Amino acid sequence: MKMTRTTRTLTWGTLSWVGLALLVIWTMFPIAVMVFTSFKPGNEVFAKPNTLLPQNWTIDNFVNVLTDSTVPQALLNSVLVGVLATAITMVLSLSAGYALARFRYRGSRALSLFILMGQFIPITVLLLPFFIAINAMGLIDTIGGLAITHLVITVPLVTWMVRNQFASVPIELEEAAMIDGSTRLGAVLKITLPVAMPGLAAAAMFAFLQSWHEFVFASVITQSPSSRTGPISLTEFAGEFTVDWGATMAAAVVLTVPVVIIFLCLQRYFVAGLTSGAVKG
Amino acid sequence: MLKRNRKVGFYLTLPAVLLMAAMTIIPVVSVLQRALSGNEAFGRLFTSPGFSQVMVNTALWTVLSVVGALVLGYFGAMILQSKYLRGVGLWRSLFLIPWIIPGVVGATIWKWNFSRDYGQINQVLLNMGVISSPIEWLSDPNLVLFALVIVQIWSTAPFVILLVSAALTGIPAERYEAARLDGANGFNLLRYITLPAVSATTALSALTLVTWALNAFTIIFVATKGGPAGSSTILPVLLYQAFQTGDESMVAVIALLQLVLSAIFATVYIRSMRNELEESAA
Amino acid sequence: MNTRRLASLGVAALTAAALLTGCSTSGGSADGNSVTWWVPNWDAPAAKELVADFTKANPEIKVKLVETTADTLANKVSVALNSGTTPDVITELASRTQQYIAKDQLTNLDKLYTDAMPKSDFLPGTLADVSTGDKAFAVPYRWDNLGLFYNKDLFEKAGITEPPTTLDELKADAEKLSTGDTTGIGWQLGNSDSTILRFFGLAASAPKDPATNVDGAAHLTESSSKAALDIIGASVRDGWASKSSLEADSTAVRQLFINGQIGMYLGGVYDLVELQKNKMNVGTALAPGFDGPSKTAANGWVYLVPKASKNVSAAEKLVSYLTTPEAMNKLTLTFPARTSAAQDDRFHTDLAAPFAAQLSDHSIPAPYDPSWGKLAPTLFAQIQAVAIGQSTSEEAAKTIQQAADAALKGK
Repeated sequence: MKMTRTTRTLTWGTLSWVGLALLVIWTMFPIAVMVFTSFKPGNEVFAKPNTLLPQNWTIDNFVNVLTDSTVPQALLNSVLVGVLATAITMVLSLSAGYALARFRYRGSRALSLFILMGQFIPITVLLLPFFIAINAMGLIDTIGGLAITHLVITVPLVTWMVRNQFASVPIELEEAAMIDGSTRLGAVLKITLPVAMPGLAAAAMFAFLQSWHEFVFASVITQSPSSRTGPISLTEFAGEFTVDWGATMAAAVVLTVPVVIIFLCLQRYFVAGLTSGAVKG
Repeated sequence: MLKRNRKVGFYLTLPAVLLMAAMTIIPVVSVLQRALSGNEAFGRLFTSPGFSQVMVNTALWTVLSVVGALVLGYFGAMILQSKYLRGVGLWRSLFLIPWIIPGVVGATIWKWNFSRDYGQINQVLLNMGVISSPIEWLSDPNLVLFALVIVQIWSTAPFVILLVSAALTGIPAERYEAARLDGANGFNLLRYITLPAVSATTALSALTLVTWALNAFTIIFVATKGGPAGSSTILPVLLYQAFQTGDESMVAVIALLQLVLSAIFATVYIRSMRNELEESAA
Repeated sequence: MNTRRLASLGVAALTAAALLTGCSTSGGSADGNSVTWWVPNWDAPAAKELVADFTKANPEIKVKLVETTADTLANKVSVALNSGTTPDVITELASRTQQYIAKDQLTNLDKLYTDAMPKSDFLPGTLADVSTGDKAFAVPYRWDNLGLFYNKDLFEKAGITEPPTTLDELKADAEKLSTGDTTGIGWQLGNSDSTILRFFGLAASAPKDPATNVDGAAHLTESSSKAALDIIGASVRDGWASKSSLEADSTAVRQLFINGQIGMYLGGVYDLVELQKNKMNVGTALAPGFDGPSKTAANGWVYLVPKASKNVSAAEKLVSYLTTPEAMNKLTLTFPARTSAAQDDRFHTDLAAPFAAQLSDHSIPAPYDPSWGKLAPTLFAQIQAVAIGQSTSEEAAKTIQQAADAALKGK
């Protein structure tokens, strides 16, 4: 009996680590290509035979990116646009998502379908009307103006993510708190929100990254370096007929690393402890 | 007791609805108008020799990339739940990097990986003796779409890992304990506890992945421009081509087609949520 | 009560967010005498110097430079012009100008073509790209087309003494060069625009029934298309052009050339800088054709002034300064559009000379009519189909002809 349990632990433990290793290789291999290319001198990127590691290491690409491009500023702009878009999205989606999870009213299904459909409209179709509208608001070439356009690609799915997350929290928890004399808002803030936190954090992360990636709106709404975002700044290294891939990859590393670090710091919102504790209470 | 305040529900939904209305109604109406008012682009699109291939490619691309990302995402999320692992936070962050990398960069890296001359994939396979001459991943019409699906899976699976992870952490450990005491085996736990608890997340992940698949042009545009000979052209690529060449009537027609396809998915999704909706709100 | 509070919470937060965004507005005020110029980032260093000189002579005009990039320019310009909110001067690709003219979005710049800048001073074909009838809506400043690059070392090793002057020689030389890791020639078949331009140049040089450019619209013929496909597509299928062509764009082909993987390619004069940086023993020649030199499609860059510009007269002043021979000489990365600006020695080196000759004697303007854009996906796919052996040149030429007829009819 004891023997089998140890064996089973060993087997599952090994399997877990093997699975993890496979996933890490799958995930990291292309990233390794990005990182190592960023340390290659220009003529080595397409050398033959091509090696993963640089033959001659150089930090020129990073010097170029950090001193002679708008990438550092664009990183900051991207984060600002992302945070602003995420904040507005979360306010709207928490409100709508909670309502869709907790209330049934006439037309609720139609409204939820309507919100969702916004996600499916090709951006190329939205481009010109959005430009005109943002221009009329005097927000062309501003961080705020770009953030507003990003709402169309964040609000629909985030609303649905939030809705699902609230729906998975048993309504009895909320009712119990209200019977104990709490207001409804209080019950939501004290009970439902903490329980739903991992999913809400994931939804916010989703909103941020949707904005982070967006290229087409950003390419026309931003004009000067003061509002230019990361994906647009990457195009600075592509000339008319040449692309400086070493610098492009260095710029991608510069853009990626801070976001990974931020995400590592926010890890605790994704861990289990918060949830099970609250449910038990 | 909660059901009574129906008006509140409406008012809470209103800001999001108004925003989406403000942002989408005018563009959509103008697309409908342009697409439906005797548009010659309909004929050009439907009778063009490559059209059926585009539709087949779009279906293959969507199904394979969605299923692939779901399978891989679940696999990743399950691994991260394993109690035998250390440093889960770090691993989870690592797994998310493909999603954080700017799309153009990810596509370019994979274009190099698959490159006939410089690609590490061919290099590794040649070194291992698996192949004797380089495989033309991106210029063999029978391979190219599958190679590109791999790239799409690589960049979208992290999203599934994130979402499913969050859903799995929401399952109270007590539920598993209780089931185990009742003699449930691993398969039963998966079947009766894990899967039901993440079914809403699965549906939403699938929907999001479909949205991405039906709007994806970066990867294909960077890697192959839809070639060779149209063998990796899907609807969004066709749309972007039309947009770039200023073919506005074609843009309207393809956009309409994409909207109709998406509307079907969205309706199926909302219907599948019906039972759950009634359950939770009743 | 509670419920109402919850509802108002959402609205209040939304308002706050809206206010927050409102605060970040910089409010671009339209200054009485300021001009905004959108300039591509590769032109920016020279543009800054020119602007400094211009401001010295015209202190009352303030010029604001906005740098654009190759990958964002087309979207940006078309959206700005469509919306009616535009900068005052834009540096744009010549072949895109006609689509803006068709929508009546540009200022007629005829009054800039004075005795100091007669239309006759411009290279043949340059003005057609930016005019309807005899009205010009832009001023070209830079012009270029394609010539042949060849690797002298590889040529010597293969025992070839002279660059090919006809396509038969090209094929024979390419076959001689194709040994081991080296292939004779490489094409940019991974990029639609590059592929189509090379195709059109060849089709327009066919000895019988050549393709023509009529007011910007390409008029293709089945036999000339087939002749061009026999070179561009079939060379890959038959192995005297690199199999890597299907994945390659301009950068990749140049790299294949630098690596010694291909012995020749058709490229633009701008490649010389990169090739010399890599210490290539490179030669240049006229593009080989069916019977002597082939025509190649020419394109360039122009200055245009949007109709919606708030300050047309200042914008015109800037453009007329930028198009003086001295300024044109300074800004062009390839050749200037005016003959009088091409006196500088750097346009007449041994390596640049074939490109200059190609430009003045063997060039055809790249088609710019919208029907050409509509045809592009079919052309690109059919050329690739021949290269991978999916169709023959005959079949592909027939398919192309049908699509071309349909595109012209839709016009």
